[in-house]
Amino acid sequence: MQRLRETGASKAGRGCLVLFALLWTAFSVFWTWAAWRGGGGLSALFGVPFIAIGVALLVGAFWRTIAGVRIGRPKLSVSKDVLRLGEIFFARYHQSFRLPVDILESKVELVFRETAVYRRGSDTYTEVHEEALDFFESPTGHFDVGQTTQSDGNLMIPANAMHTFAGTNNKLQWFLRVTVNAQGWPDIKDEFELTVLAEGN
Amino acid sequence: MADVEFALNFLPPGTSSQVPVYLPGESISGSIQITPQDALKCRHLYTRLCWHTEGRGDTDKQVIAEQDLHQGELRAGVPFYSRFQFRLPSQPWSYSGHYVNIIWEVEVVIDLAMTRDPREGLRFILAPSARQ
Repeated sequence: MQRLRETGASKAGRGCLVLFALLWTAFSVFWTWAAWRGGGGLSALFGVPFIAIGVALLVGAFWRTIAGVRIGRPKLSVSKDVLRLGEIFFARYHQSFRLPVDILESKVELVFRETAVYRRGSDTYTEVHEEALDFFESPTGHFDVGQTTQSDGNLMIPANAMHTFAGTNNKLQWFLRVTVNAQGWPDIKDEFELTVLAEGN
Repeated sequence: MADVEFALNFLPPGTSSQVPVYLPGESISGSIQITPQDALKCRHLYTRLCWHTEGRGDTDKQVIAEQDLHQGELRAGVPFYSRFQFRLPSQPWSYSGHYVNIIWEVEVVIDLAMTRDPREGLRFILAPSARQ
């Protein structure tokens, strides 16, 4: 079995979000403070929503870390991480819990994703379309501190699917995505990339 | 842009599909006929095997192979004939998706000085038998 690593893209994305959120929040706080010092109470109030947005962005950027206080990072292993069309492979998912938590839904999905990046002037836009083509579910219920859960299943790359493609602006990618829905918390999603070769099984 | 009439065909002619389908690794061949309205001094007459993307994203393109068929004058009203042949690679396969499409074609380009190069493309599908 081969242990999969979380995709670098999601870590890089969170890093960019942290940087942006820090800059946004810092500027908003500074502007609000300057307005309040200038005696403009109403002007200072105008800055409060911007500070709230910055805080929300920071929470979003650190969400996986915050959620990790309760739910540890998943461990995902596969029989092969370089696959062929039509191939069946085995995946094992292992999850630990650091605080008591009620898991409402937990699953491992095989996802095929199209990503298209385009530029309009100085702005860059990204469009994403994805399909979950196969999955297996993991145990749900109440888990106490230190408890772990494990599940596994066979997943199949469809024989008539498309191989991995990585252009500069356009990508076709395969992932295993772990989704954990804990009561009272937004869904936690972790992704692990696979390579599908331009070969049949 | 110079006024040029292109006629590109895959060989053998008379395929049943409007867009012919080829397997990875297969050999692809065809004929080219170019008839310029005015005399042209072409620096190169290229035929290229290439793919590009279409869809929502900015274009990605790659030229897999290139043949330089002619350098010199193309006479006004006189058809120029040639043939091309390429060995297809294993990937990427042709693809038609939600936001991304991968298009294969044989492209003919007349490289002219100081003006836009006339070009014509002939599309085909590259796919293994399981996806046809």
